[in-house]
Amino acid sequence: MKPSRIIRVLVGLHPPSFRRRYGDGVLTFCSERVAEARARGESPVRTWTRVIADLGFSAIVEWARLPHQPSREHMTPIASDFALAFRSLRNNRVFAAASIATLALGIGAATAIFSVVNTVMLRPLPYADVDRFVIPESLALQTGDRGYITYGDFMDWRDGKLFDKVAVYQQLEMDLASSDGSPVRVNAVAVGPEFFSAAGARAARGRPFQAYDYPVNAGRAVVISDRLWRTRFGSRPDIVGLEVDVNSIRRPIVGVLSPGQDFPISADLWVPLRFATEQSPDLQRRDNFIFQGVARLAPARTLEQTNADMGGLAARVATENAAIRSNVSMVATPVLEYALGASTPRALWMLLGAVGLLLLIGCVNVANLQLARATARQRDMAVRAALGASGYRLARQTFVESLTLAAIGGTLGAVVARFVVAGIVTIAPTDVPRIAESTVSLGALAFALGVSLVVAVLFGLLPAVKAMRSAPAGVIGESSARTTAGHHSRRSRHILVAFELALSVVLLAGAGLAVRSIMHLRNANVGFDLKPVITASISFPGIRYNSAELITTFVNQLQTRLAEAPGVEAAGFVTASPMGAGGFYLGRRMIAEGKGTGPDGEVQISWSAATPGYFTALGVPLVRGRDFNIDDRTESTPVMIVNETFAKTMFPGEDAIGKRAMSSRDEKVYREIVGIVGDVKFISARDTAQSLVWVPFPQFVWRSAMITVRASGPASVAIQSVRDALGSLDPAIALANVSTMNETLQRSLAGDRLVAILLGVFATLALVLAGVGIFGVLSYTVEQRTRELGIRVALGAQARDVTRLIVRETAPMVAGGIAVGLLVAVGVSRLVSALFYGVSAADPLTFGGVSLLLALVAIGAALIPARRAARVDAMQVMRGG
Amino acid sequence: MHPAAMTPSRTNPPRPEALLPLRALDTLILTMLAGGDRHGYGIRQDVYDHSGGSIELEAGSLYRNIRRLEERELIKAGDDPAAGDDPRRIYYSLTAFGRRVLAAEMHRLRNLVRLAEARRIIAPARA
Repeated sequence: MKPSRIIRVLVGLHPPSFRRRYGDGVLTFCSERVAEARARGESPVRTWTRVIADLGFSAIVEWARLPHQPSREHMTPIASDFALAFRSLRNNRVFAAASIATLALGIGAATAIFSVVNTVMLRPLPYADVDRFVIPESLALQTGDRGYITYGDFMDWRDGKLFDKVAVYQQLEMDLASSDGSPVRVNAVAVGPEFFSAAGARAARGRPFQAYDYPVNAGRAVVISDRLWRTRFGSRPDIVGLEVDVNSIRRPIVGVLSPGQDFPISADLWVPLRFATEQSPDLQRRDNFIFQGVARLAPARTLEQTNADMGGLAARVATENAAIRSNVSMVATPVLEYALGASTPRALWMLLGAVGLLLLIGCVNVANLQLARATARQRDMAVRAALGASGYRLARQTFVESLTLAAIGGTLGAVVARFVVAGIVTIAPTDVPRIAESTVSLGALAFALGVSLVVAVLFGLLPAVKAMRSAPAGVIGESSARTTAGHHSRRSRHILVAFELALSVVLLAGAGLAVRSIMHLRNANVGFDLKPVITASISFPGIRYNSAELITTFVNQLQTRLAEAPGVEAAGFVTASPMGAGGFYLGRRMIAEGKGTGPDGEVQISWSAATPGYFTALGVPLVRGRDFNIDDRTESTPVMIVNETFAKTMFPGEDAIGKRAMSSRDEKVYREIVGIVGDVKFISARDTAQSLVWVPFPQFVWRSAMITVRASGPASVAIQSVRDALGSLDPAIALANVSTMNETLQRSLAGDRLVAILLGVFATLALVLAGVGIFGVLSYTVEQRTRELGIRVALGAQARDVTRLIVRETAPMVAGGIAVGLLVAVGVSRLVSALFYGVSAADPLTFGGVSLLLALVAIGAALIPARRAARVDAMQVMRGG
Repeated sequence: MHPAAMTPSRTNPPRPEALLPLRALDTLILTMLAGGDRHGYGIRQDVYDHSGGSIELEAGSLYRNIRRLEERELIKAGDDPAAGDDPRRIYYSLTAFGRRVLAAEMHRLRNLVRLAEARRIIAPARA
């Protein structure tokens, strides 16, 4: 629809008197308003939300202030229909309010969630030819896990021309010196030749890397992100050619990428990944999974064909290297699937499902309300039909009324959607890709509005259709004189309510499980006391720290200073902190001395290096043996500390202290176990126990480390101490990722919290809507049965009996609905159980609680009309009939 | 139904004080019109500029206020559009009565401000 049409329609909703006087004014105002908003770059969603909400509200206010009997002489037929509709709705406030609230909440929530899902999952990534862009990965055949690739496999693909373009890259962190001398840590990527063309990224300024950047004696060119150019370099136009200090080496900036093109990894700096020779053993080894890849499918090859080729090559590699490559294959994943990761889309799909349910509940509710009202108006309609009103006239009247409801509900829904989207963006974890870009999707709004409109109109038309089809006398007779409302209409409404209850059970159960899950996660025992622990990362630029001794000496000095610093109780270093707080670890396999050497005897472990005092600083108990000490040096006996899970898995039923084991595929040196520490959650609070190994830092020196500090007082004091100590030793090293363990935990739970909050909101809405549904149906039932109830009272029924009668008739519908809902909920939660922690899909507490809650709401909603029924005055009823 | 028909005709216009206090938005609109005649969108722009961009009037609420102000005879619609301008544009101007009401409101506000200064809520303004 053209903008001017929309405004014309909105103006048309106003009373004729207002239109005549101000219609032109509003039209010119709005067209100027829209034009100026466009010129100013205001988002069309904001403009239209405001304009539509404003004029919709204005129409309501202007109609509402008209005197009760507006003169209709100047009205067009449609306007008079609207006038009638507004009056009719004003006279049925409960019905109107319930319908509008239902529509607004249903439409608003559905639109908001769909908009977020649309932004995060469905909108195409900003790359050329996105459907040819794939990510090659290794595939563990037993578990289905996907992971990094080896350089050897990359060379197979490149030389065998499996892809149009294929490139490798490695993630790094680099220290970028800023103008004031203090360095900042930035995410960087070392990329092989053809990386940018394979990824489809273009340089907005300067150039991407060329073949001549790759020889080891070439200059050390860097490419930076649009973000870095804006934030660190103030968008200066002479950026290309500028030299910057990266890891203490001067390097020329040769290009700036276009905005948003920092996929596959959010990075700010790119450097060429170069090797003196591809023949080095590290690159040739087929189990050195340390690279990642990007590729474009070859022309005329499909994803399936390419995957078959990759599988064939991988199978040959597996035969030639049986000891290390059995059970590993290679596959390519479409980039969109890859970008979304494994758990984000499942959570979003679940929310989309939940919001679909909510919209469905809303529609059922509206249908129900319309049906109930239809029954109530049946007589009115029949009389009008008998008096000669055409079917068209009757249908048009109800149609306009439904339209009015849907329009008001939809307008409010748009406003609700805007707030819900803003709310989600505020509370969502920042690592959900692109979530901050979420805006209300007009398509989604139109869809939700359309669905509700169809439902409202269809069910609204029923009474008119009925009135025309049935003999007027019969209808007038049925609903007034003799008995009760048609059993037919009552049963269909009861079934709708039961259906609504069943849907609510599913939503409530989902929300209950999510809430229980996050409570479990929050209280999960992570293996140490989180509160006083602070972590931060540092890395050592290779140009100055060019030997293991220099790094070890520096680490020792820093640890000594930290131990004496104010506010610090204990300090240590490790290569990877638990709970995913940062750092690097290796996935390795170990074999115990004197045990089988085949793949069967291997235990999968995570390997990191630590300094003496690290476990004390973290607060992990030493169960047996000793901590590392100053005598665990580079040249002394190779030793390690393991966790309890490792000890139990590798040496079941034995004392592991003094035993030896080796990393069977790489280091191949037997290490003696000198200590056993308690288990800690290594990746996140969701971890199941896994085997962990720490070796002394001097025996496994890394270029980066996590400082781990146990604060004796406020965290801020300890953090300042760390800054001071580091600054006094080497001011050119950046302190990055400073965080308390508690913050790390909260951050890691942000996604779960978001899901729990949203499901909780939906479930509450569902509960309210279900209550409204039951209340609506029973109210009308009672109203229609007034006469029957009056006779019962006249014949001696007590108030209590009448109440009981109504409640008893409600019970089957409530019980049936809940029972069906529970069955469906168990099935559904099985599907999504991977998202929940520490609760079974059929958690009795959740399901029992949900049933009870819903039953209570149902009874409460039934009691109000039931009590009204009990107060029926027999005499009045008999006389009034 | 012409709006004028809905307003009871008066022989004696009410005292300006009877209409006080004005709604904040009414005060703003009247103040803008005191600076010269404006059409609808002009009022929006004027209000926007003088509120530092914090008040964005939309059509419905603006014309609702215009309707009310017209009914109270504080403003009136001009007869001829400005030469060369869009003929559909209606310019609104302050009536003499409207000017008196606005002045009365401003006096009321000034007294309030003086009270606030006396109570040391704000520092006295310098002339």
